[in-house]
Amino acid sequence: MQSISLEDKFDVLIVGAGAAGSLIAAKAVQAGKTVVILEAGPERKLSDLESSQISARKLKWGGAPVEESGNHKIGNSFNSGYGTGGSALHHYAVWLRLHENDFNLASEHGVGLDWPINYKDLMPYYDRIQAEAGISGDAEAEKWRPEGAPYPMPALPVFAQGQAIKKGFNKLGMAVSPLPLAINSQPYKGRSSCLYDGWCDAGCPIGALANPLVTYLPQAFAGGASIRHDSTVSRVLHDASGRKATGVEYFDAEGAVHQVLAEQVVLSAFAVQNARILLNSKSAKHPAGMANSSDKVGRYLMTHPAQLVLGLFDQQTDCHLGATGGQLLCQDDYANKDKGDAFGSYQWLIANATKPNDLLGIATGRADIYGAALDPFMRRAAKHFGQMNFVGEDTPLADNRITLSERKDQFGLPLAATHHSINERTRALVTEGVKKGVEVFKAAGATETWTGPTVAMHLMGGTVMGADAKESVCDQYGRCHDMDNLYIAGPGVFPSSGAVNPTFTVHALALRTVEKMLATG
Amino acid sequence: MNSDKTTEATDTTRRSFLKTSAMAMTYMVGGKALLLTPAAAHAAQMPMKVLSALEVTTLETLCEAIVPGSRSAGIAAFVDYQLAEKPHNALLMGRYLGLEPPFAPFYQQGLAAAHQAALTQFDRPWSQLTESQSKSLVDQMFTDAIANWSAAPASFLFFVWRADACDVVYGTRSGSDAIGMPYMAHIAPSDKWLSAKELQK
Repeated sequence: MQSISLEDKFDVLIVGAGAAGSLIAAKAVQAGKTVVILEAGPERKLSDLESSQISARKLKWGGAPVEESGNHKIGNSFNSGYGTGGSALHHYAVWLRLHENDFNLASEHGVGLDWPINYKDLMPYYDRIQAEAGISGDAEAEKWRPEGAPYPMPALPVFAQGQAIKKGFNKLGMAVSPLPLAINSQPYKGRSSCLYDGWCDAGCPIGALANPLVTYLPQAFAGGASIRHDSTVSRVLHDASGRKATGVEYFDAEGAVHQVLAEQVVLSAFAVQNARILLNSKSAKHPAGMANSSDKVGRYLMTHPAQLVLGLFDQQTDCHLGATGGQLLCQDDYANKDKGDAFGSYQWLIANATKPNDLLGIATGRADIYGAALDPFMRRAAKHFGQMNFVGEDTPLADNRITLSERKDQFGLPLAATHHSINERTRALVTEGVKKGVEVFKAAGATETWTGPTVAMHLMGGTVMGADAKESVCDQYGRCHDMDNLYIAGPGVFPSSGAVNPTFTVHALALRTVEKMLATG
Repeated sequence: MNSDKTTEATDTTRRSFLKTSAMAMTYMVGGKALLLTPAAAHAAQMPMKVLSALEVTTLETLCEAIVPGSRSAGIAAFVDYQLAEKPHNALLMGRYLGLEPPFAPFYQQGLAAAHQAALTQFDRPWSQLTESQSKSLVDQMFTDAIANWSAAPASFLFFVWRADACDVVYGTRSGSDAIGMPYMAHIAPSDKWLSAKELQK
């Protein structure tokens, strides 16, 4: 039997050093709390963020394999991060607010789940976060944008690729606006402005993009927070009553087992691993896993169905310039969720900065071109390529879920097994949207147009929040219904996905969470 | 320790081209560490760590048929090096495609199936195929048209190998420049694939 090392006790213990965990750590130390962060992956520094799509792969999930099944697998390895900063270290900084109509799917449409809060509850937190981290955008031009403070920085420039595709939207009578990005268009709070050279996916080393290494982790460390890397949390510990979390158990890189105690525990290890930890935290008091008296832990796993529309244009597009997330936004079809055979909102992220290789690169988009035809295509595309990304709403389904596999990892812990399928109405949404996207490219004058496969973008759900303890895992602040001091942070608490990128909302919710923790702890 | 992190967050300058972050493939020769690009490793015929000689020539030949230039760009050296890495350090695009570690069996079973297809159809290994014969086989791989294929689906292996080959041909600074796309690095990689931190170990 392995010996267990019992260590110090902290006010706040945070599992996962990504967007949510970093923010909570910073706010907690600033309130005088002692904080420790346990991160499964290795330490990352800004100087690790080399401009290469090849070396960028190191930033993606490298922990225990995650099993995937269903007609729309979640793509955990691409969508998850590993190491300091988590997935936010390589995220594309498309910081959009959920819309008012995203919060009440069940009551308004009889589909999925309602949030226990509404947009008005989140709005002040969005406003505060954007002032702290910085967003560049044009709130007036973004005509679909819900109420809120204007962006603190002007929009980033639109390059030739964006101008080329914009013509297609305009010809079809559709609106576009600058894409709001948590990327500095001008120096902001000591961080430099963007160089527009499209390396966001490899991680931004100059501090222009709001990743945790330049936003909340420096604040956390300055306030005395400590971090332990290569620390894989296996389970949450609790007291005799079963209501109070007392800490966690984790394995270090050498396989030694440790226990760390804390007054308050936050799981912010992303959607899949949070559920895995809870399900693995079985005890006599929690026979189905911790916080799982509702049998909802792991359920309502969601991902945005996404699909690229790509093409070549006569004019030079300079597609390597800009941000990976894109230059322009269109949400003309966001307000109307119930489209008959199709259901959900969707948006277009337009004119993504593109490199020659990798999953979203030029070459991969045309796997049917190879041999002698490949190099001439690459030379032409390097000058004339354009693309935009359809991002659709996923319908929350209880059977899309995370469970524990029979297979074990190197520490003997069950792997996470994920199942995710999209239903017919979501499939129809993608089909309808992509058809429209192809029309846009043709209207823009693309000489060639093609589409990519439908893929999974972002991970949400699995530990959903709700007003009813029988139907959800945690309350509106992320506190687990079954526990007094165990909180969940990150996109796993989303009861529905909307069709916007989740990181801004993750920050806003995490701010609500930590302020509730500080008020009660 | 904590203050160091804060300092780094503010000290990393714009387009700093940090030489200390250069990546490299390391080979021990005569007790000394050589840092080589995949192309240089290919040119120097550095010993492989995982792949056999037959697997190397099979991989090089079929990748050359899919992405011309990938043999001399060091496709075999690149793949072999990554297969020898710990999975979370491996830089193969297959990581994004649902491949579970260890990755070597996926590659080796695929190469064995490709080798068998060459023998079955042309009675010779890939290294002895004509250009048109190689093209015929990769065409069949792309469409899953090879009978009795005993590995992961041939079209999926085609996709993975094509991605690996595009990495070494187009995913480097020189490869990007060659097709007319300015690389514009913040922190310039050296077209090699191992972090400085790992080199220190």
